[in-house]
Amino acid sequence: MNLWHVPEWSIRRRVLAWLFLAMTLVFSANLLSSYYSNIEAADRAFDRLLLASASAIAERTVVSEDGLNVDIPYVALSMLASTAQDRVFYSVSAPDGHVVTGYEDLPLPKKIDNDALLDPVFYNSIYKLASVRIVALRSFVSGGNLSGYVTVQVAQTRGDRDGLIYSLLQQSALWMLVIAIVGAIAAWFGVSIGLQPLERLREALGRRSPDDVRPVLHEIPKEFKPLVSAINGLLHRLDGGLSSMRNFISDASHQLKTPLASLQSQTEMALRETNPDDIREALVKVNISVGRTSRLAQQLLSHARATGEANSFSNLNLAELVGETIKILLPEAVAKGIDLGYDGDQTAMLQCDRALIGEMILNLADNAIKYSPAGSEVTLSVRMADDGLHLIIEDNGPGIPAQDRQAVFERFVRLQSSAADGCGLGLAIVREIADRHDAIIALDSSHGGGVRVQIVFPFKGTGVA
Amino acid sequence: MRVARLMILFILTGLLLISGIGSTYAGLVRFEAAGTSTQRLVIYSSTDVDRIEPLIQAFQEIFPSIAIDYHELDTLVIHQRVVEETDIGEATADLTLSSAMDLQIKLVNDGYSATFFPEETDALPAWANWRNEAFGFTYEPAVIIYNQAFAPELKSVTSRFELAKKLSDRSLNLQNRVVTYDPEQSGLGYLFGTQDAVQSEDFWYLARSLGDSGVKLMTGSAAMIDKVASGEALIAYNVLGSYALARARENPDLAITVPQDYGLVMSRIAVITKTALNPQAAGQFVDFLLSRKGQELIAGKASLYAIRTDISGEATAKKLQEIAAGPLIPIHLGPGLLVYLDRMKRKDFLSRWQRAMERR
Repeated sequence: MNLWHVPEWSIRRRVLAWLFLAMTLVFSANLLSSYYSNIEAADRAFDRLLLASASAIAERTVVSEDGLNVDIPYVALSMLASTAQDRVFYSVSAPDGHVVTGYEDLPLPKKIDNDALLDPVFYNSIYKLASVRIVALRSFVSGGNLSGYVTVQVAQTRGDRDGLIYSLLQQSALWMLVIAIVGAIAAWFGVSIGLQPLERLREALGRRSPDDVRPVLHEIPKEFKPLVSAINGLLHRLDGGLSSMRNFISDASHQLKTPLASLQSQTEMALRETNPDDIREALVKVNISVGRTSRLAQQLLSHARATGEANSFSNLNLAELVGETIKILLPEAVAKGIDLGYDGDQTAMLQCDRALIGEMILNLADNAIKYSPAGSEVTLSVRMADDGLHLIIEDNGPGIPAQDRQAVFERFVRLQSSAADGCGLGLAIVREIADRHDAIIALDSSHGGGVRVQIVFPFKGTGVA
Repeated sequence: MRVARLMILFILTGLLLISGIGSTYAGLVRFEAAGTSTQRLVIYSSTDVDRIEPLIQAFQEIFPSIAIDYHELDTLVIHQRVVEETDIGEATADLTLSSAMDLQIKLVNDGYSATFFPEETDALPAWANWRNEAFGFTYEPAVIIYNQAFAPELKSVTSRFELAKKLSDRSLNLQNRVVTYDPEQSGLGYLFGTQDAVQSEDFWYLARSLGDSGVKLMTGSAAMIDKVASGEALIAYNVLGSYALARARENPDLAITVPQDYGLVMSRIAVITKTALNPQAAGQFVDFLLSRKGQELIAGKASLYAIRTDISGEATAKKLQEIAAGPLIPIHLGPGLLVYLDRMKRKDFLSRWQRAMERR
């Protein structure tokens, strides 16, 4: 398991894990260093005793008439009786090197400098299968025809030293354990205390009413500042969305009010009429108004969908979709005496939302038909180009003056010069849908003086076949 | 379930003859197992077989499948055989029981022993356990015995100083009627002598007095007691209290004195060998020796003085501590015992002893 990529780990757990890691490193280093210093301390303490024993033997080593004589004092060995009951070995060697008394084969120090060295030498070795600490002491004796340095060696197994080393080590390990536990407890509560401002923030946000989108202004530790400013950014965008939605709703109700009011007056008029021909005439007017209102409602719905939740994208042939739209509008175009046609590639794959793009094509073509006089031409085309997929709708109608070309994309804007009846939502919807698809809309004049709308879907990744 | 049949096979080993003291040692005695013998425990011991027999019988009642080969050997031979047999890789004893505390310590110090953790370690005094490899299981004082039928006036001999004084008193006619251990021939005698020398320089005064009185040097407590019982000797110094007590029960003429200046106490030491073929049975035997049951037998039939202070009876450490007029000094197990095994130290001690004896 990757320790650093477990998102569900609590902060407390993360802090403790880091603490554990750091403490393990520090404690291992500490134990290692105290192990070596303990060995040194234990050796210092016990070497003195070993030396005292060797000195006591050396002191009682004399030259008598029948050669070297060693009278080992009782205390020399009994003083080495230790709590760990270590084994004791000793030997005394004459100046010529032969062992006078004691254990014959006690290991000698690696380097023994014959006469110059008078300081005792302490060293570790293995003797009789046990690890031992040995002191070698040289002492000058003289008498008769013998004079020179005798070597006294006293060795002791390491039981007591090791016992001391481990008890010291145990002590420091115990202290480290205490530190680790206190550290862990401190970290445990420290995390709770450190996270308290976040808890206060949570409470404050929880208390808010659903439409309260004011920025959060709480005093907060600097670690949380980026989070709070991200929340504030989100609230700000939410605020923008909410107010545009409110505007849209009020605009939409306003727009629906006018046709409904005219419908009401038309129906009232029809009710007053007694002549069946007049009633019929009034009903025809009502019918036209209902159609217009229904179209408005349809467009409001499309607009809401275009700005609403995420859409489902799929890969489809745009040329085919354009063809289908032409089929839908053909009766209307024929009725108005307009030549509606297609000119472009047969296959142009695009990653898009089918319903939205269909709505977009329908709106643009419908607009072109509506605003063009009888006998005009409306041409739709789809083409692959270097920079992306081009969808072009052009007519040879009256066109839009250059200064108005930005305004037509705003909601509910209708040009004064316009003859046909529209609600002013069509191009706003087109722009929303284009934004959704990261497409670019350009509006300019066609060759025939009419309107030319060009929408470019730039290539991205594998979306375009 | 019945006790093991006792088959006594006296086999005098050639080794024993070397020292000339082998005659008092019985050699090999086999205690066959009552049940099917699955294990054989080999013991080298310096304790008389008839003293140890009740212990072995009781042990075999608990462990009927363990047969015991009991080699009764001199202390020096025990040490020598274990060292030699181990060094050349031959089978040696599983367990050694020896009164030569110093030699047992040397066995341990030189690495011929195995570690064992007795069940009742806590019942054992600290001085009687060294490294969990050597265990004292008896508490036997070195005593003075005298024949109160022949020499009732020796009742006043309550200390070593008194003894030296009495020896110089020509009117008592103690000349040639004193016996003690020969430290040259007996391991235990050497241990007692050297420990006396450690305790006090006065020992040499006593040694010279003993030499002056023509002391007879002997190799065993039993023989010394025989001499005093028969009246051939009137007083014996440094006799094993355990043997003396057993004999005094039967012979009212024998009187025992624990010296008031200090009473030296020796302990028989059990050591399991490093190369034991049957260490488990050896451990079971050590556990048995230190158990209440074993210690009660040591205090009773064996009369070797129980070391555990929670055992009561005449031959116990507890009783001895109650009746002793002076301090009791147990010989502590530890490296100090190695000192007198040093060959130069031994040579010095014995030559000084001989100079004292030359005055005989």
